[in-house]
Amino acid sequence: MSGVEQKDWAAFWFEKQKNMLQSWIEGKGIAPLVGSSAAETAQDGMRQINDLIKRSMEGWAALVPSASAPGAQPSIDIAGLTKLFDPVEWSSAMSGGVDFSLEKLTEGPTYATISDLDRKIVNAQKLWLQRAAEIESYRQVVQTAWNRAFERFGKSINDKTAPPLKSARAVLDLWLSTVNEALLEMHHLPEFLEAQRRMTRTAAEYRLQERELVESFCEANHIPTRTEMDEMQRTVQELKRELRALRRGDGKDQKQALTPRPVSKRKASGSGAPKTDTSRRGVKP
Amino acid sequence: MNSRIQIDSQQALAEYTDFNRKMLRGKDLLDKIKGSDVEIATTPKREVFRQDKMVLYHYEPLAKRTVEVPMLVVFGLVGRYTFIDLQEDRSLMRNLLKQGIDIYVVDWGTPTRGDRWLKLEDYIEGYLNECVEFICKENGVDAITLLGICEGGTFCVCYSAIRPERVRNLILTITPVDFHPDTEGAPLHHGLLNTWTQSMTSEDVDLLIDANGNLPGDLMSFLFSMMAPVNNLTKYNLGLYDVMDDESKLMNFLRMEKWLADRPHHAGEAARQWLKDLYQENRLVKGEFELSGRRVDLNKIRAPVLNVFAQDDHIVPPKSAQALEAKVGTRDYTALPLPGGHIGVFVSGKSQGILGKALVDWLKKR
Repeated sequence: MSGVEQKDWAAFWFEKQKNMLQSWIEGKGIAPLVGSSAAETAQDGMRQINDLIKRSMEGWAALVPSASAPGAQPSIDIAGLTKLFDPVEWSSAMSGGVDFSLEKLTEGPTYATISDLDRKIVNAQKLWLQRAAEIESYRQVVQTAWNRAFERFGKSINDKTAPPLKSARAVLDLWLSTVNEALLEMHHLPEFLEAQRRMTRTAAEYRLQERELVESFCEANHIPTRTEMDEMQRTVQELKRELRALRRGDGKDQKQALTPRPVSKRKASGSGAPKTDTSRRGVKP
Repeated sequence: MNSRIQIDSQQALAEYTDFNRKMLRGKDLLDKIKGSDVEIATTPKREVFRQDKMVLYHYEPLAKRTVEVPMLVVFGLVGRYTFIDLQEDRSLMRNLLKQGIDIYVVDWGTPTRGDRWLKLEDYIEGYLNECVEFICKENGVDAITLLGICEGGTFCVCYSAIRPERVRNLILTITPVDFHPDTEGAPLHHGLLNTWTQSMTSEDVDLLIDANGNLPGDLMSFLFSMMAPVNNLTKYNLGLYDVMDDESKLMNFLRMEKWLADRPHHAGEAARQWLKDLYQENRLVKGEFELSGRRVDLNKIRAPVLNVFAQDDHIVPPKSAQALEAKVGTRDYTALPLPGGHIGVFVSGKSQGILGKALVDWLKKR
């Protein structure tokens, strides 16, 4: 779409929006289109849009033969196009383009007096996509183990030297033990450990960024934040710890420890509860 | 014939018939069982002490007392203590009570976000210590027997090192001490938790705890299920199918499911210490682990030690538990390897007659 065409269409669109809002404000309702000059302009606009779509389709069609003709100079990035149509790429939530755009947005300068809520939202989106990408990488590692299991199972059932499998259950059991072994082997592989580590890490990073975003809303709306609650609970826990230390005399007099709430005073059965002989046998020198 | 698969039509028909018969019988049984029928931890006990979310229970006696020293059972924060009392015929608690042991058990409760700042010090020097003090006071004794299970065993090890005068006997079951055990020659499914935690950086652990507050119980369940991947994938189809026509096995399956579903979060700061200080840096066995700034010296453990470990334990490899022997300050040390896995050693039908009896025999001699 050329700049002039874009400008014409945009001017038409904004003019119509302005007219519609103006008529609402003046209480006239929506201006009738049929039979008016406005209707003719609208039809004109639609014709322009149709033309644009048609020209775009022709442009796309022209690209294909030029890219695939033997010896032809490719007019577009073939590797990029291949990547675009590769199903593996579809399964990844993070395309290079999106990644790059987000990077540009999040790496801009910070302005002290401008709210950074947008930045927090973009950061959270970026981490969400990274998380999805790491989950996908993890799945791909796991898939290789399943592929290995299929391969081994295929070999095993065609192994004429092995004992025959005489029931459906025996076949199932062989398949399950083959898969189990392949998955357990995978669990020790460096690529699996790294994929698992990265998946867990990005999930945690996303959760932290999500919390930051939610806390912006809480702060703006007079709601205590998770961080504030955590700080308060930390203080309570530290006070409890200090109290316990004080009650037991900092470990010097254990009998002064916090007196537990006795619910009952059941006597030990049998021959009473004699004092235990605290002498120790066979203590290493 | 090109492949090993040699199923004749008669065999296929027999399998198909058997499958249908089992499904029908299973459906009848499942229709009959209500959620309320699946009960665990039913051995009678009563609350005797409570602080914050921690509750101390005292079991009702089932026989005349044969060992005077009371026992406190300490489970970890990763799961709940209820699996040692899974059902009447698979209950370590009942086995011990029937042999005349006086038993208390500590329930750490279900940590919520507000408990994220609880540290291992709070559990070991705080709650555990106060339970021990209570039991000593109630029974008029100076020291008790500690029975620690898994992470709870590590708590008992630390407690016995910092308060040796309060521990008469130390019994440990499936207890990790060396978090970097030698895995050469070990089965593939052993020690995955150690491998995974060591693959994370210290900063990864910090982020995980900071983001979630606590170590999520769901995450731990996911990790445990990955240690037996196919079993986890086939549990509700093949696993259930295998037991669904046998009421006893089906109930056992459902009770285990109830226990597995009840996995609390691990308090955040305690999890940070557990993962970084122990799993990543292996400080306990190196003699570098500290509680409240004081070093936990395993050589200060003077109580007789019975160390029970499972030979096919995929969560706490046998070598991880066995490492204690070289570190404790007592010569009265007994190692008891038992067949089975991490959970099986407590709940399998085979272990029922072995574990309880071994514990009581050992206690009676001391």
